[in-house]
Amino acid sequence: MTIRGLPGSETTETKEDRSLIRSAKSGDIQAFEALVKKYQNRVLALACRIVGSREDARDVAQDVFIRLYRFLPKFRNGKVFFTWLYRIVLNASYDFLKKENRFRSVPLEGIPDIPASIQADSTGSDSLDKVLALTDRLSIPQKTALILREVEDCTCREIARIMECPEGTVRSHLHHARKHLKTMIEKHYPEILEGYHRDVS
Amino acid sequence: MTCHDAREKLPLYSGGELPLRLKSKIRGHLNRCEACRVELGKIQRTRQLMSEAYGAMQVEPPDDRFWEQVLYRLPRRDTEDARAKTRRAKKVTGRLVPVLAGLAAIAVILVFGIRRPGMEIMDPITRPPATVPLVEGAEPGVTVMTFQTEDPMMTIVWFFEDQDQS
Repeated sequence: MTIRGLPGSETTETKEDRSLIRSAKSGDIQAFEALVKKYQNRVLALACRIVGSREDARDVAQDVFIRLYRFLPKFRNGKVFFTWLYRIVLNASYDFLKKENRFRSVPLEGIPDIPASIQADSTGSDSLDKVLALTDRLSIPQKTALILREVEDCTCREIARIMECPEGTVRSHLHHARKHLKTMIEKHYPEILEGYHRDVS
Repeated sequence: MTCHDAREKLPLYSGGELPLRLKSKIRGHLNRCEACRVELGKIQRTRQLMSEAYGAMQVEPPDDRFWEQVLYRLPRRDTEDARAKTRRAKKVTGRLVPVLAGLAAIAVILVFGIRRPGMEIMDPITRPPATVPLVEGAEPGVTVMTFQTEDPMMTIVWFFEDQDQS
């Protein structure tokens, strides 16, 4: 199953959501269960994209909902719930990566470690695997900003709220991430980018 | 606008994150410059691939066991409340202790540090002992020591029998 993000997410919070959040805040476990079931796919998908493994993402997602239960009483009405929840997902994912010694604040240089099976064939879906492997070479903030923008369809303002930084910093992350990723593809797999520039008008 | 300036802006231009004024300047440059159009094409292809790669990432939706596992690991709210109370109490205590210690120090200084006139403490070591029997009825061969207390109406009198007399 392919899980996409929250397009136009700022407006997707309904009255039902707000009612669920209010009830869960006051200790209603059924409301909390409904909240978990509503957001579990998105949380799992984002965690998977950040930590890079489905099994690890499941543990991170559980951690996210336990943190959510603990911190929900502190959630202030009027704030956007999904940006708040995504912030928890990022924190839990970063904590996991730090525990695994995989958290980087600067991009890695040099040739990425690509599995031999992917190196052998450079066509079809393997191109996507190569891009995934190269994206892993970006710094964690750059990769996060790029995932939130390109995959989760968040606006710069939403990303700034989620990452708790100014919008200018988000733009800087996006700028460097796209530039760095393109340079790496050109250097290691130039065939992937060939033939597409003519489509640009 | 030069190619260098335009290319610096292309990553954000491709995502529509530039201000309108800058966007139109770059559009004007792109209309004239084939090399920059090629560069923009590469960036757009990179973004497209990245989006497809993550979009195609297969994530199994969690089954019912997921919620059960979350439920099992949830901290009890009353335990959480108790922890919160303990944290609050520690916070208050942490603030009160220095204040109370300060007050205690001030009290000690007030009681022992300041000597009021007429309340001097007599020191029996530094005060020369009175060897002359001053007390009426004291027999010869008995040393009498008198100490004046803070109270002018009260004097302590010690009698010592001289060893040489025996």
